[in-house]
Order: sequence, then C-alpha cells, then structure tokens
Amino acid sequence: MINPLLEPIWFFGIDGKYVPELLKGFDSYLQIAFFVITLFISIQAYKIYKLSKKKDVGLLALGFSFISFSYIVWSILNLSIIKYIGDSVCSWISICIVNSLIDFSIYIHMILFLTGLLTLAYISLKVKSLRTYILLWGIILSVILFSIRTLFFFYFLSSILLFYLIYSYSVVYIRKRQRKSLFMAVSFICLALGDLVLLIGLSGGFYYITGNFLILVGYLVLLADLVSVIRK
Amino acid sequence: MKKRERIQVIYDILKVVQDKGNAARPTHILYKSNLSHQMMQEYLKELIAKDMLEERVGNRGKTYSLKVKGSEFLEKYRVVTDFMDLFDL
Repeated sequence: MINPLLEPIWFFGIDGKYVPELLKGFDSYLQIAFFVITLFISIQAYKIYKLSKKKDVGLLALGFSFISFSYIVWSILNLSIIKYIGDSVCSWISICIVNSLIDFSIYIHMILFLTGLLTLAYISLKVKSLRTYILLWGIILSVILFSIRTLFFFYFLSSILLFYLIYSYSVVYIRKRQRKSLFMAVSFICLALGDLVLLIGLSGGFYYITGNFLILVGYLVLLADLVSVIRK
Repeated sequence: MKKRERIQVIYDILKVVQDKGNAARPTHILYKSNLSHQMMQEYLKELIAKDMLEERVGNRGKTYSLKVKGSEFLEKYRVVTDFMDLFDL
C-alpha cells in the first residue's frame, strides 16, 4: 500500500481542493519542462566533454542527466496516475500493483535527483576521490531508504546540497565578478528556495505551486546563462 | 609556473594569426606564443598538415593565415573554456 508519509496528496498534483482548476496537472508539464532543460544542459556538457576530455565536465553531464531522468520518472508517474484514476474499472489487484509502482517510482525519482545534486556538489568540492563520493552517496541512500519521513528528508537533503551549491557559486562570483557567475548563483538560489518552499509546505498545495514555479525560474535562469555562453 | 597544455599552445598560435588580421608573420607568432623557434616551427608544420593554417610566401617573407578548420577550432575552444568557466571546472 502507499505509505501516507511518503506521498502527500498534492504530490500528484490532482487534488482539486489545493490546486486551482486552471493549474490542474500543471506539475506534470512543469516536470517535463524541467526534464527538457536539464537534459539540454546535460547534452551540452557531454558535447564539451567530447571536445575537452575533462573528467569534471563528464561528471557534470552525468549529474544533470540524473536530475533530468528523475523529473521524467516523476512526470510519467503523475500522468499515469491521472490516467489510472480516469479509468472507471479498478480491481483490488490492479490497485495493489499501481500502489507498488508508485512507491517504486517515487524512490527512483528521489534517488536519481539526490544523486544528480550530489554529483554537482562533488564537482564543486574539487576533491578527486571516488571513496568520498561513494561515502556521501551511501549516507544519502540510507537516509532515503530507512527514514520514516522520507519526503521530508528528501527535501531536507536536496536543500542542503542546493545551499552548498549557492555558497560555492557565490564564492566563484566574488572571485571572478562576472555576470554569468552571478546568474549561476541566482539560479541555484531560486532552486534552493523552491525546494525549501516544498519542504516547509509539505501539507499545503499553495506551497507546492509556489515551490515549483521558483524551481522553474531557477532552471530558466540557468538555461539562459548557458545559452548566452554557447551563442556568444 | 604551470606548463601550458598542448591545446593551449595551439590556441595561442591560432589566436595570434586571427588577431593579426589573418596574416601573421613568424616573428609575431614567436613573440606572442612564447615558444622557442624550433618548437614554433614544429607546431606550425603540424597545424599546416592538419589543415588549420596556410603558409603564404610573398615579397615581404612568409605569412600564416587561418583556414576554415583553424577558425572552427578557435570557436570550439572558446565555447569549451567559457562553459568550463561558467561551472568553475
């Protein structure tokens, strides 16, 4: 059965009480947008990796591809549920199967997303140690798999990683004083705030919408920054 | 001082040629690329063989100009360095 602590009802974006009619199902489309943006960044990073052969660039491509696939998993999950609920005939067995699939998909989303963020944080740490990476990943995985308040800790851990990235890119901006570094820091500020809003608003749909829009702004700033560099 | 990477040396040579209005003399390249005469000759020979540079002999001596592949290399190098700079890699 679905673990109620794992999935608040608004997680699926289908609760009419919280989500206005106009915005129903909007999150699935937002997640597709996040998927497309992060996949684009990942592809660009991979192209740069092919040219430069720098390991850090390859890791960056990998990090963004993890984040990208985490969004598509979540989006497919949301769209499947909407379709499933739309179907009038539901047997007990099919409900059990769907519930198990939902739990599985949510865990996959969380693990992929946190792995992606951890990879980005690991690159900015500039520590070339696979053991450090595996250790940090193991801690994150243990928290997600064995915690009772899984969703809370998911947002909590992702907020910590995002705030670390804000610190890291802010230091880069202070050092370089470049506009592109400033936008980079701003994009991670939006992503972290979006995540924080989702964390503090675990019980309300309004926060869910606000958090998702902040994340969208963050990704759009990141995308604009990247495009300005590529097409200078 | 950190040793320059090979790719950085190639970029420096091609950039000198571009900055000199696509007609750089060996002395310009030698001065700006900060290489020994022998090393510069080896790099120039290689870049000509790879179709990135073209050697022209005129009344005032040799000049080097960029070919399409050389210009493409400069553009790709700029994108790579700007991208890596963006993510502080």
